[in-house]
Amino acid sequence: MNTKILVIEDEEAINDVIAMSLRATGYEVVSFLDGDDASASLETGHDYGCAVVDVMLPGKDGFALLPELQKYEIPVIFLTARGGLQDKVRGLTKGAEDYMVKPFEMLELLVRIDKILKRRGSFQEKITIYDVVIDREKRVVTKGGQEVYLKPMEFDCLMMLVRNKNRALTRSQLLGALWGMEFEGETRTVDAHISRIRKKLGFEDVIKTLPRIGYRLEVEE
Amino acid sequence: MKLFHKICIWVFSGMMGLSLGILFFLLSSMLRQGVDDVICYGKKEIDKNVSVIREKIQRESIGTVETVVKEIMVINEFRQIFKMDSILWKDGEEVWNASPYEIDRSALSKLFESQDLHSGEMYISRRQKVDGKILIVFYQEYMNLGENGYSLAVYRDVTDIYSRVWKLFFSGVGFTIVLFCTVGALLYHGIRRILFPLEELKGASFRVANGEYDSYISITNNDEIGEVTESFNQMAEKIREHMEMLEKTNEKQQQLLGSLSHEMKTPMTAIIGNVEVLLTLRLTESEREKALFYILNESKRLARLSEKMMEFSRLCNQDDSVISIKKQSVSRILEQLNALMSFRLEEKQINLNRTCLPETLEKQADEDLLLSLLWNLVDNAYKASETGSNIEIAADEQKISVQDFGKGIPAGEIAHVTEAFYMVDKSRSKKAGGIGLGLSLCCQIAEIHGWKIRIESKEGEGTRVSVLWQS
Repeated sequence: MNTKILVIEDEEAINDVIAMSLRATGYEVVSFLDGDDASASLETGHDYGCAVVDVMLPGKDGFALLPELQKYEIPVIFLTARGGLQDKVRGLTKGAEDYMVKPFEMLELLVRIDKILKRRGSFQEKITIYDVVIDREKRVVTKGGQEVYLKPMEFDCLMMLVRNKNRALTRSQLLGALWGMEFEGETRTVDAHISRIRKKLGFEDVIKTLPRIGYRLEVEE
Repeated sequence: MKLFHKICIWVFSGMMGLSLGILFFLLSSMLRQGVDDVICYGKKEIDKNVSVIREKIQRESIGTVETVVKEIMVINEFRQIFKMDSILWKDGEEVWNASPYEIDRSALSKLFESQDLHSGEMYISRRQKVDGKILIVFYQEYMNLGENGYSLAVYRDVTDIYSRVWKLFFSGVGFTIVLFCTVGALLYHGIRRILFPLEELKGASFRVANGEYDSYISITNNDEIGEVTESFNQMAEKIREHMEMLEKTNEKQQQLLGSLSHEMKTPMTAIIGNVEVLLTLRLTESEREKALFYILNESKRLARLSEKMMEFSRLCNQDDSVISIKKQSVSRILEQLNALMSFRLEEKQINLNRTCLPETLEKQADEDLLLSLLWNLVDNAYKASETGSNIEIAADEQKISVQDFGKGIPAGEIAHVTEAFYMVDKSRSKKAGGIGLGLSLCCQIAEIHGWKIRIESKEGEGTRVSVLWQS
């Protein structure tokens, strides 16, 4: 069963974008447009892995929702347009797990959700894609029961794609996330790694190349 | 050097010079007068004495008297009349000298001749210092004292006059010093009093320079310094007003800028997120359309925001050249407004009832701004109204008001609705295309014209916004 994420954001356009991105990455999403509705729904269902909550909401605002969410031990990521230190400190000391200032990049939100889930243990250790099983803890990949040896960098690269499955990653995003640098020109390193992963796992059709954008690991749900 | 020291030095040296000059002049003329008196008197006395001796000798030596006898008679007479301070010579030989001094006749004779004097005239020497005394010598040569060939020298002691003058000089100097000290002390304090406001001014202008704009000086001198102080106070006041205005404007703009960047973040997040989704996710056709629709909507919102902001900042930095306040016919403006709004109003089948009493009502205003103000008010009323309801605009001598029969504003929120970006119901306003700047714009326009805006509202019954022509 996929992890459920609660999204509370009054701006429909933003709410939809978050929901779409999360769904594509394999999460189940429940979204609300105002605080009162969200608060009411928590009584009946609260098995969320994480909640993404806007601070400024009609009805109950983010800070008012925080204790309720904490009651059910749901970690909270605040979204806000206010980037002042005071607001950040207030949000975090009140018990929010993380804090994101608008405008933000979806990838960052996904990474942060991932981190929180990992910390909270509500995190799948083994991921299965077709006949490939990835054990995150042991860093072992098997294909049809046979272990396939991946170099550490190749494993990280695969994990990055898997974590963002059904979602395109640009070469520079991959480069920045894996090699910790952001420079153009060396994107061929990424290409080389991807092609080796494809060959080793038989993922020629699973990892798609998107012209001018990058790569996407596609899994039919 | 400080002004105070300069003035003191000039005044004191002037006083000193003046008093010493007067003292010297007085004493020197006193001395000259004294000596002149002695000389004049001495001369007359000698002349008189000489003629007395001559007459007496001539009378007593009628007939033939021996030359020797005659000489003795002359000496005798001379001794009795001239007493101690005189010397007599006969043909160059000293015949009588009762004085304690030896006088060199040949030297006197040379001086006598050097001055081109003839016998019978008198040589008067300058003052001589002899044995600590000051003498003036009178000398006459080869004169007739009943018999020819006598020369005589008489001296007068003027030491007294000199010592008197010196005494006077010292007491004069003493008096001057005492006077100088007392007058000086008075002057010192006087000048200090006069210049004190300058010290004060210096301190105050220093404070103003350091940003304390409420530094007043409470000095009410009735002189130039008082005037300077007065104008300084005026200047400080003006600077204070100016700074306050600047600070206020600055604060307002800072606030506006802060709210603006905050307001811009939400549509930007939506646009960026949706574009990202379009670029990176596999989407169905309907999802794709939804994302594009969001992007379009949010971009439009950004455009509206920037447009309103432009209008707003133009009003904030009001430039007189842009605003032209003229007499405007209110009913004509209302007609224009109706023409502008009619299309929009028809969408919701809302009636705009206009009344203007009297019909010929005219007000001082900038046409565009007044129109913009009314447009915003009617637009707000439109957004609050249900389909098929009415909006009433009524203008008279006191005010113009826009009344709707829509949602109304909750009592607690009326105070906030004129704040920039304040929206009572955020999600609903946004759907209606609002960005929360309309009423603050109206307030700004009203402020420029010196009008006041009054908002009355009852939740569920409607809102009336009035512009009071006279504040």
